[in-house]
Amino acid sequence: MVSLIRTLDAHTDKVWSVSVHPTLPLIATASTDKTACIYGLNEKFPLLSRLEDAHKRSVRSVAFKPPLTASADFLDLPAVACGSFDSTISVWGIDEPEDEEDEDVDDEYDDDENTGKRSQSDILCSPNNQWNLMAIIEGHENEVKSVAWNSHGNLLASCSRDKTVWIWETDPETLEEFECISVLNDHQHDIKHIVWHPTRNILASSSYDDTVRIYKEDDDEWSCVGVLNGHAGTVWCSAFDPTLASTSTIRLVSVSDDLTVKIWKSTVEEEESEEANPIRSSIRKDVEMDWELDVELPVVHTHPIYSVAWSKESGRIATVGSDGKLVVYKEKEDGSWIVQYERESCHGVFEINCVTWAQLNEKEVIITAGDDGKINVWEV
Amino acid sequence: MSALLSADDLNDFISPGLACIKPVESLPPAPGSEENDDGEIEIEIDTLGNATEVGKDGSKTTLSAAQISLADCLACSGCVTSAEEVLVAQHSHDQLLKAMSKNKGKKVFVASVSHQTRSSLAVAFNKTIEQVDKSLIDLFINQMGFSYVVGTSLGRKLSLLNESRNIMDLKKSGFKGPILSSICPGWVLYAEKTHPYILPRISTVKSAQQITGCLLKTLVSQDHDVSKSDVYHLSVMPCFDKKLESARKEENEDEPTVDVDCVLTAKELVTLIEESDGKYSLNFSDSNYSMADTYGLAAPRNWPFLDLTWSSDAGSTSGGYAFSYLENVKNALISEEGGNSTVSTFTVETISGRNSDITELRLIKDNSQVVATAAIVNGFRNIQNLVRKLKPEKAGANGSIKTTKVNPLVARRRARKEASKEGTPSSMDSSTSGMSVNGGGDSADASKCDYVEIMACPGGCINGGGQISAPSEVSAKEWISASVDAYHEIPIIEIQRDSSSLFEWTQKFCDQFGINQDRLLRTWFKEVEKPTDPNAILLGAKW
Repeated sequence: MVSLIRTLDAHTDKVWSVSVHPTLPLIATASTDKTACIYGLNEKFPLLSRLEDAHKRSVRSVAFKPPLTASADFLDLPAVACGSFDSTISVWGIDEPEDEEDEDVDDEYDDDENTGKRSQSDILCSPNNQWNLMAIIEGHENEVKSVAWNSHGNLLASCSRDKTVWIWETDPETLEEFECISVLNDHQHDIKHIVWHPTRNILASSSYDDTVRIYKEDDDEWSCVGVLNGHAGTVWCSAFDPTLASTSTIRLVSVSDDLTVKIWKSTVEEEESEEANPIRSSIRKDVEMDWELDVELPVVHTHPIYSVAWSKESGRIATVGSDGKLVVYKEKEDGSWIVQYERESCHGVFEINCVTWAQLNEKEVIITAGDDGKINVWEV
Repeated sequence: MSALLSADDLNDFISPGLACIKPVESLPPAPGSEENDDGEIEIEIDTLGNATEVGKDGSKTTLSAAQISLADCLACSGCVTSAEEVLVAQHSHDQLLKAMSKNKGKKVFVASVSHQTRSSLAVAFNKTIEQVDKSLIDLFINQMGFSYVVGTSLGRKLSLLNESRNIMDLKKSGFKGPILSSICPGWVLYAEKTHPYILPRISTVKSAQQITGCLLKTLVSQDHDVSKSDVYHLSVMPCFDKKLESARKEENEDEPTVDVDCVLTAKELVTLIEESDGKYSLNFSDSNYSMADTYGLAAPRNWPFLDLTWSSDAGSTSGGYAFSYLENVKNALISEEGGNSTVSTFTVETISGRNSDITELRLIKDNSQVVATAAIVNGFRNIQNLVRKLKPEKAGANGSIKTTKVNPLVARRRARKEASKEGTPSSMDSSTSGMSVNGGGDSADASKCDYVEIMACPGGCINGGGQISAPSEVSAKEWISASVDAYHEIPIIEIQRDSSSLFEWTQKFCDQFGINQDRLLRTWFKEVEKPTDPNAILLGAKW
């Protein structure tokens, strides 16, 4: 069963993107109304901050920076990046909360580790925190379509209608400077979406040129190391399999205008030592990754599929698109995939632009963002 | 940038615009064709893609394809650099051969050859620089009927000397912040089209190609007693964008300069030879002439400084502009201070940057005092970071927040980080700090130097888009490194210490031919305005 548990009237115009913080109960949304919003991810879904006055056009994409470390005595301050049609990227964050910390500790003093964590999260997700603009990153020639942070938070990738992917390096703690370390222009057309591997520095971009491209760094240079050919229409989005994050197998799911959902597979060889590979000239060739189409999921959508999300908890895949449908796929033990749930008209007559998995009260939920300006939260 | 215009899959370049948006001017009606009063016509496109205009009376006229010239591209901001077809159409080996057959016996053909091209050919054919030089002179003069061939060194030395002098003059007059080189036409065009605020920082001293062109055309036209337009100058360069440079208009002149009639790259030269069916070849058989005789016989009779003409300069393989500035500052100081300082008073320190394409050079006096700084910045990503750093401070989108430099929130996070580092260093996840945060003050910072030598291609001009590509079995890196080695084979003649003879000769040359020094040595820049018609911007755009 898929049941709607909450609707947020998040924006006054289309919602393009929704991001869930990897560890804190926070979600961020991005809209044509030129703003992004930060909401608390709990029963009340409080609006914590509206990030406005930074962009002249739609905010197309939003992404939380992954936290630095899970250590209990270190308070990692959350940050979010927004990509806009005005060709810039904005980065937002909060100051270290001051007084609240003591109060919270007084309230429920406990040696329990979890409590320590919970209070940290309460402090960081408090509506008292002011979200402020930290940087505007310029460089793209026109509309930025997607932004994404790598797992360490020191690299931010962005892609644009200018057919390029840029990689920016920063200090993941201070977000001090965003130095462009690479401009990748392998795609033929508008690039719709980019995503990093959950643990490795491998980047995937989806494009109007019907391909997904994979990038890796080798010897200080980023380059395209794989092309996934097979879609017969714009590829709108892709997602890495987070359940395989720590193995050498990599799976990526991609969704397209051609109504198909495809899973691609590759393996990474663990870094070899210099001695094991003394011939430098051959290294460049080894960088190339072999990708093959692993499986195609049952076709359910009747219109272009705009977004796909792969659950870390349950390994399920959710897709949404122009037809207003939310589809949940489940992998069987034999490696085939079945349609677990399918739900029509999830945002009324409106298109759905983005889907993501989240945890609400230790239960898995799906969050969707639609052209109706609403964020819907679903129990599955 | 160059790489964009070549077929090579270099990934560090600026992408072209989505569609050429240059408005096409309507051609005058063909003679004899009647005016179509009601203006109703149809356009048919046949299976071959030919467009035919069909009038109401059924008459058909074949439409000619719209032509976009190189000058159009330079004036337009539609794409960052122009389309490859435009370059190929106007500066191709076919065009050269056409010009040669059309003007046989009418025009005097002359060629100038860049250092990087000679290096590329040396690596591609596994020959020495001297063998390459001899074979090129043989190709142009004996096989293709050219009258003269020179190296671009004299032009480059004039460019280097004037560049250094210009920087020193500007610095003396209180110019704040770095002065940027304009030797790379790809970078210049990019700045004109997308970062006009940077233009006042760009040095107006001309490149080796353009100075060489002016010298060659002037001297040859005098020697042969013909007009300059009857001298056809072929320039052989490492870079496709040099074609764009040759089409730039002089300041206060309406027509594009014709100091260079055709620019070919090393790659295109090889194609020309390959497609000639054995008519042309590079002969590497040893001739009896010494190098000095070979160079001397190939040069125009009134060509000065023969020994300099094929020589090289110290510093980077893009011409050593950064290094030359420091050398000139050093020599100026030595002569100013009389006996108080000598060459040994100074050292040049090299500081590397966050990647191999950023280097800072510092001229240090008495092992303590930094007296001049210059940086070498290559490749689009590094240019990006530099121009963003040099962008004037301005308010955010809403006039409220300063965005370009450190913002208060960032500053507080940094303070917090520094405090936490002192207190509990273990609280930082060490795996995330593997990246180079500019913690140490001694990392190269081009934005704080006196002068920056900027080239759009990663690795600089030796890796230009027009250089011969590596065969499939050789890695690109090894290939470039071999080209660098070949480049360093070219003997260096340092001219800084007796530069006065070059300045004097330049003065005499300009006086003799009534050429303004600025015409010979200076170029200019102009902001290319962004298109304002939204339809033009959207034309051909794919969403």
